[in-house]
Amino acid sequence: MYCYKCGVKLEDSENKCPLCHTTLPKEKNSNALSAYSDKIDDIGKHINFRYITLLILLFLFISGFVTFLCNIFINGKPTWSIYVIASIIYVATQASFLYYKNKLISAILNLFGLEYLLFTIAYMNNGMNWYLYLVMPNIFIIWLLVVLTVYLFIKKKMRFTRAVSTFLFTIALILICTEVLIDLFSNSVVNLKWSLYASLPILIVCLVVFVISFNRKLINEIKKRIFL
Amino acid sequence: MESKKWMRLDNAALIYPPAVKKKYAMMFRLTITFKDKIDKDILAEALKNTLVRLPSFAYRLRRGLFWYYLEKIDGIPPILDDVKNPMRTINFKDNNYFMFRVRVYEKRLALEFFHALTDGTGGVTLLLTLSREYIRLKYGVETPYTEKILNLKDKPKKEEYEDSFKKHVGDFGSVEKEEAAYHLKGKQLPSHMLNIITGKIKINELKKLCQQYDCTITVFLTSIMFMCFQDIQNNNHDKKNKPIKISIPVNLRRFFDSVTLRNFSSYVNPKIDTKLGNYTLEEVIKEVKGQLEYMVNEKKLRSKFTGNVNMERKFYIRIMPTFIKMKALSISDYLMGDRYYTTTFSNYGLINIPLEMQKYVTDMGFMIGRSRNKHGAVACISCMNNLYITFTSRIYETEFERLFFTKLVSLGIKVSVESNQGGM
Repeated sequence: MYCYKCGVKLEDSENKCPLCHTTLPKEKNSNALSAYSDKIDDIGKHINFRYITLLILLFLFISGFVTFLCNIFINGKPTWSIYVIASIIYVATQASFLYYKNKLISAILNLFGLEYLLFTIAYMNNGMNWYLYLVMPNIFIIWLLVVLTVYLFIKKKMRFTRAVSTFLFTIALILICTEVLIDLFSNSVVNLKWSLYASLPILIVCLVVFVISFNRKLINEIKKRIFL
Repeated sequence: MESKKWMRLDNAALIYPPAVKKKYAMMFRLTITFKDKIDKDILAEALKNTLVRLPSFAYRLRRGLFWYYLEKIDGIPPILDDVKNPMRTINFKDNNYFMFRVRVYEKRLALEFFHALTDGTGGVTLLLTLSREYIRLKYGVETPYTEKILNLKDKPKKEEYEDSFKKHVGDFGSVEKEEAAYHLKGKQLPSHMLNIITGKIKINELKKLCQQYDCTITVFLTSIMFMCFQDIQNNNHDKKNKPIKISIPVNLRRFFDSVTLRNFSSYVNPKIDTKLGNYTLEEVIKEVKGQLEYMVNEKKLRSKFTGNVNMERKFYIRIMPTFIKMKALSISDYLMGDRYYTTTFSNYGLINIPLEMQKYVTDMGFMIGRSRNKHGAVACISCMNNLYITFTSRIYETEFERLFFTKLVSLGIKVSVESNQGGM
């Protein structure tokens, strides 16, 4: 088939002239494949989280610096702006989850950010005793348990039921650890009370879910009965 | 020879990595069409065997403190389905970190190279060696080796990796000042799309015509392009204050002793100045022929790349950290990369496909990817009595292509065209 305007021969795959865009009558029996695949390579709209994070942090740090300067001008020494700066550093460590692909780095940064924020508050209010013996270890233990659980979730690719039981177990552990630390801080003697009331039912549910997770048939039966 | 664990980028490749953007990377694509539908499993096997002989293609791009460098990798790139808009920027991670893509559409095999890895000669060597291995595995037929079809039983040679720019560098280098060139305007296509139009021409007919005008095919086709741009300027009443310039890549292996599979090419920019008046085809041919003779010779080319190598070797450039150097190169590429020519015309020339292999192959193709600031580029390859000339552009208007092919038709040459708009 020839384009009557351009005089060029069109390959069977063409149904209009690519040069002058004249539509030509399709020849009979032409089942020719198009010259290129119909698929389109489109990378879509990727959001550049790293860039956005850096931009947000830049604005936060600039505003933090301005706050600091205002504080110096008004009071002559840094007082309330220290809280603002500590909070900004904490937000920055939170934002690192968007920035780093390796989430462990962000998790460690996050721990330091939180500890630092609370340290600042304790230091400014003469509460170092409270901070060192209660808050710091407690936050560290909770952080460790949460990180370990998330690590297990990701690495072991658990079934839903087993993930639920692990989650419940972590909560029970956190409750017990918290009471132990509070007891040690206030009386130096461990006397578990409220955490047991809270964690025992949780542990029982956790155990039941854990046992059920081995029984596929039972899970299917439950699913069948209670599906929404 | 044990392949190197890492190597420096060659001198010509330095500009490509910093210029990479999500919407733009300097890419080119070589295709070969077989008579039967391609078997992807056999192709993967052939690719695995080929990369053992041609390890210079199994490198990934990494960023060092002062320069980018290439690091050896194992495995093969994934074999992808072909698309309507080829030569998008490679997402290295999705491509197993390889710097070339392998795409298959029915009977056609396409390799899309990031220019930092190799130039046309290296690309053709990989494509043909891979095709020979594929034919051997699929049909059990041994076909002959040529200069571009390497024997997989041989060991990789050291010379195939070398940076030939450094080897042939001279004592004196000068980078000549260029003037800005006329650019074609038009409505931009969406950033991920590319207009592709391929024309197939009988090489004998073209040769006869070239004999009439006493010039080579490259000179003739370039001259026709100059005429098209001149017509567009006249039709659109465009200002003629800037000359029309066409950048023609030159394979330096023709002038210097080298078998490298990495970049070893330069370019020349012949021009015509339409503000002096309208040129006829004969005048343009005379002009282009003279300019090419003046520019394409060993001494001029050596001084050109020596200037670039000297620049790379300057102490203050070497100690600049990568991120500063690359930002500077990226900006300079954006501002000046496409400023000095209207379009690029790369003529690979004739590819010698052995008779035994011709039974399994129908055609080949060569095209250049989306340009950064100019409207498009033209690439051309010849094999088995046919010449395939492919226009890629990033604008809707196809006036340039239409003028080019209608001019050839009016000179008595039969042209058949296909495009990526078919079936739309």
